[in-house]
Amino acid sequence: MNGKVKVVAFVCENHAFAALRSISEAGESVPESIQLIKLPCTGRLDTAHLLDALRLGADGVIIVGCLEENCYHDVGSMLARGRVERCKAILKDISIEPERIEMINSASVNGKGLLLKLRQFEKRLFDLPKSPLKGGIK
Amino acid sequence: MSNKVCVIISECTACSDLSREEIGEIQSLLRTDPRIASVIAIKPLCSKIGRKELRNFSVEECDRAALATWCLPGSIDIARLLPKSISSALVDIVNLLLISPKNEMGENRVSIPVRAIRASVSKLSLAEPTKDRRRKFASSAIAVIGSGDRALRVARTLASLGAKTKLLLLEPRAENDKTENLEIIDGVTPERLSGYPGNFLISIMKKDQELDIAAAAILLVSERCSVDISSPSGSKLKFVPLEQFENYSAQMSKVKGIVFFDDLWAISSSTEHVIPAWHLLLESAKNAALANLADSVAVIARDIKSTGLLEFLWAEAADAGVQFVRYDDRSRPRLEKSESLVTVKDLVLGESLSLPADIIVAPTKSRPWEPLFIEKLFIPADWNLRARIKGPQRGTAQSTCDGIFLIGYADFNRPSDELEPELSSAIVQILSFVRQGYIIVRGAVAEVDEEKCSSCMTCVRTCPYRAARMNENWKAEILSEKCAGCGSCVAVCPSRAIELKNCTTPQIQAQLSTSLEEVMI
Repeated sequence: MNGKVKVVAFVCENHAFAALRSISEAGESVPESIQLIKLPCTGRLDTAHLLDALRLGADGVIIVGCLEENCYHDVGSMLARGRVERCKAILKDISIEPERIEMINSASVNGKGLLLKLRQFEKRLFDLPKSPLKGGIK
Repeated sequence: MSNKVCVIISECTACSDLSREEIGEIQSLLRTDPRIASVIAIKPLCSKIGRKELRNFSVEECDRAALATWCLPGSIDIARLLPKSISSALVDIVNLLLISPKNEMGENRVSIPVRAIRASVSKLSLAEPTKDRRRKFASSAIAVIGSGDRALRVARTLASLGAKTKLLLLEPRAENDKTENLEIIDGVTPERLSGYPGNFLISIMKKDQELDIAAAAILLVSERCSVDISSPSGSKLKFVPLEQFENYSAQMSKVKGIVFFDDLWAISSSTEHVIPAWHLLLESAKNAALANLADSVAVIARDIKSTGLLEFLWAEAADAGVQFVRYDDRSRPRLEKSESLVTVKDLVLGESLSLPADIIVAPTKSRPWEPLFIEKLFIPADWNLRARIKGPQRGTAQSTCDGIFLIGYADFNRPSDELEPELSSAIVQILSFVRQGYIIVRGAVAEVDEEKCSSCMTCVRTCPYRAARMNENWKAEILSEKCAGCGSCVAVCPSRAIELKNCTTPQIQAQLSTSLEEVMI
């Protein structure tokens, strides 16, 4: 795929946010293509939001949450994982690449690892064919 | 009556991508909206503010900055940060600015473009913030629930520090204690817990009489009791309580096999849970293997806890030759009493194992009321009925519900020397909580639309803070004083009856569509 990609990242405001903060403290910034949307917890994330982001023309969606065993709100990351898996199944059914959705669990101190994963995800999106939903469906 | 919103715009051009003209445009745009009460433009923050300069901010300015970020979806939600100090909230706001990518000039910019504001204004559904979100405590009493010496010691310490203390002892007590500030009620059974932090009402049963006790905070003190596990009659098997294993092993002769269980529940089929003392269990197993007390030493455990130093203990025990077997609830270990064998399906290997078991060592029964008690009092707990605790796993005694403090309940039962620091930390935490005199209800809490609620109780089961309950009409109700605003209940609700203030579905949708607007054109 040529040109720019647009990625929506749903970020939990606790450990994942702290990880993003450590990225900026290290003097780097998240890839330009990534638009951050902050949630109180990844448990707030609805399946509809994930599908909506793709419907509105995003090339990929990332969910950044706490580590599952260390989730700030205990159950949030676990709930989100289930929803992401369900979404991937839906995407597969309608023959859209399920790789467009990915969940990343990050510890608050692992900014470097998170940045690496974000960049990898962005790179992987370039290899995928153009999203059939590109341009958005109203 | 319609909700009126006050909008404050950051005028700082260094950290925002708005020009003067655009700000004027937004102001005029906002003023035409009937829901907006006033529009003010201020210069609260810019990217050049370092952490040092933050200290020089006046409180008034901080408040305005806080308000500004609260009003705009897509910015940091100050409402959730309110229990923190204002300066730490401000640090978070500045951090938000720093995260956003840099522009060509090398300056940070906030990613709240004009169109985002337009979109959010058109879909704004902010509830009117309550003017006074402080909930004052009805009483300043601390209820200490427990039994035995430890509970008594904690209660006396609290009373001597000047806190009004009510000690609810689960066992009858012969002598009468007359200490100032201390009231002892003995022989009680806790039944229910209602109210919210600072305003708890504990219903207890005492000699078939129901009493209500008001308390600002609750401290649960667990006491390990040494009930013997009796060996089944007519069998060669020997049950040894974990606590007495050290004494027992000093005089025992060599046997074929020793099996350590994490939980009596595994073999007794009763629903009483026993909380294992991992340190003691692993140490005992290691020592038994090193002393060559048996041909085979095995530890059968349901889930493996490896917090902190436990990791090393597992490794040491494994090096000493202890065999570890992991099982799950679907395939519980079976006990062949006549042959002294334990058959268990190993989860990792996926095959059945037969372990010789002449001696079975298990933690002694905790009090049968312990898990029941956690359930009855509606204390946040995980599936294993272990209370959830706030923050890091060690050195804290607060449950995820404000005002409920625990000693020895959380995670696993600890050796008594490890409980001592927890005990003193609990005393400090509970005193500082009670002396504050009020709690602040968070601005971002979940609310239920009773008309839509289908009474399925999904939210009650999901809420990690136990803030969701069913009310008299059998509809879900979320106590705003307990709610931490995580939004878990919002997403699981099948009838979409719950909305999280400040993070409503339309607000997320607005953020989504504005961030993807360019793609759509």
